[in-house]
Amino acid sequence: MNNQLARILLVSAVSVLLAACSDPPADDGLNGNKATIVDGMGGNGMSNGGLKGIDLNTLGAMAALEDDKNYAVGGVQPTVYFAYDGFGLDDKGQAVASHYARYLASKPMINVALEGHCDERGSSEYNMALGERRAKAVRDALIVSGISASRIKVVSFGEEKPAAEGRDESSWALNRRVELKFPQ
Amino acid sequence: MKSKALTLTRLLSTWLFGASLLVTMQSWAEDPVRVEITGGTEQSYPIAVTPFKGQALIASADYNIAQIVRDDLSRSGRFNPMKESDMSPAKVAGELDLDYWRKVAQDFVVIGEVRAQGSDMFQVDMRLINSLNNQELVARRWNGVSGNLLRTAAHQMSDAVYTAVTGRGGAFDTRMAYVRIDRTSANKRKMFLLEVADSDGFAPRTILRSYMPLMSISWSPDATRLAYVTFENRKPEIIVQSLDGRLRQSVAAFDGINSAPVWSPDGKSLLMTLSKGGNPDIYVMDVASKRLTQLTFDSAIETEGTWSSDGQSIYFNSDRRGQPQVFKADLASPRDVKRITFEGKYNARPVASPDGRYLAYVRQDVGGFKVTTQDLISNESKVISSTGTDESPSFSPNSDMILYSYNDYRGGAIAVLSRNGRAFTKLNINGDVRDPAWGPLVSAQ
Repeated sequence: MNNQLARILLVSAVSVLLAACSDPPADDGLNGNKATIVDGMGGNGMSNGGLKGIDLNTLGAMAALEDDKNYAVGGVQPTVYFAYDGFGLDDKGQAVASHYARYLASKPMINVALEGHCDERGSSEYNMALGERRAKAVRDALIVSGISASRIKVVSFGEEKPAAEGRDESSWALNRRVELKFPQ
Repeated sequence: MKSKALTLTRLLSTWLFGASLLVTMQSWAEDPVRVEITGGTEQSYPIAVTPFKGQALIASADYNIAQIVRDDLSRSGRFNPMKESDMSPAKVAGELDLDYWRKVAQDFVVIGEVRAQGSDMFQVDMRLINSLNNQELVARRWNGVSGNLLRTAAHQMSDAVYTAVTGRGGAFDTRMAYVRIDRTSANKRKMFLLEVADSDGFAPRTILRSYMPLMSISWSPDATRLAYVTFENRKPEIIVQSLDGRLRQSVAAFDGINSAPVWSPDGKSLLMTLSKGGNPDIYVMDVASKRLTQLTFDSAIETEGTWSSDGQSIYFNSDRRGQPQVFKADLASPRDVKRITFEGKYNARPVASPDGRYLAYVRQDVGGFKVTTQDLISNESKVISSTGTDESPSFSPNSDMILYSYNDYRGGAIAVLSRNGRAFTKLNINGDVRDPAWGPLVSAQ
């Protein structure tokens, strides 16, 4: 076990180093986004029956970088927050939606992605569905304000991408949200 | 090409089947006499698993065979193994003295011996004796066990003891899969690892790394493939991956949610939640043809579909009554929906026991979200956990234990509960772990 653990730690450490070294600069086209298959078990063929790990250090790397495409317009944070287990927009949420509906109306070439999120409580899969409901509530608010549905993309991350890592109501409140993002 | 693929499959099997293939087992006892259980299935059996003679031949403390067997039996809640420190050193070192074990109220005694068979190769004998009637219930030899398979051999001993005493199948020589979140990356990004470990959390192997979240792992019934959800393309997608890493395929990447994959008992279909129709509904996909059949039609959220043990029906979570509750539908007439849970305002993430008798799910009560079981014959439900942040319950293949994850003070943790809830064991797995799935039994050929 110690050996096995050490091996895994070593492999992880090497991978992390590789990831750090090969972490692509923002403008290199990120051709490393494809998954590459390596011997993830450090060459210990027989004891693991030839099990192969897939080295996916770069898997999702581009998607993670896209997190940075979240920007605020006119000093209004592009995030709508929700009550526990709720998916209705309160006045503050409505104001955020109206503000960005005006922005989108002024920039007809820009589309918007609505990313729905939940706090960690409750089942992950139900939260996936709840996150989608929240994103769709914001979508409906944008549509009511005259934005074409074809410009709006809805995606749910459930409870998988919290904005705050704490396990208290103040963190949970920050995690029950829809983020508006503007892909180029 | 084909033979190469076959070789790899063979190698994979070797790993998955562990000692089943590499370790030859011999039984030289008469047919073991099974202990009859009359009614009192709630009792836990006192058992003394004595230190194996020759244990010192094995250098690593991680391979203490008697301790591995004790820990396995404890997790089941059906046994109460005597602590080694409570055993008389003289009695442990000397010949088997059943009078002594009866005197210290141990109904069952396990004795064993390790012998070296060359460099890092061992032979291990194990015997289980009923001390009350002097009967030998198991006498078995594991031959040619390489050092790294000693834990597997020990789990097979636990399975043999479990079956001989309780009359039920063992589930210790199995594996589980789960997600580990690694925050130690030099570039400070969270990394999500898909890992497979033994049923006690030992020997973890990483089979996938991603910067984007992973969730909802389901084992194919032959234990060669996993289905799971990834966000690597910035949206939820269902992936099927073989454990040898040779096959990795996106099977559902429709608009909206692609989630909650669960393999059917016959391995031919995947249940899944898709919201491509406008709201989350449950579909069944024929894995070979990718053909989809819609099974739920309500405008509410329907998700977390799971199979009945016979594969003829599904249980699922729907909030059509306002809050998540568990419903059931037959594949033959999916629009004929029957509500299953009535107690508690929130009952989610159902899973049926392989023996068909129980349903486990997560109920929200005053103490939080807790693993709950429901007897599908009496319909009686019972909260069995006390952790309060529970997710992702899954049954052991023998239906007697439940694996799940919860949050403790330092992050996600994985635990095993006996089905009656009496035995709780937090597994010793490093890091922030979640979303466990107990793998199927893989029988030796």
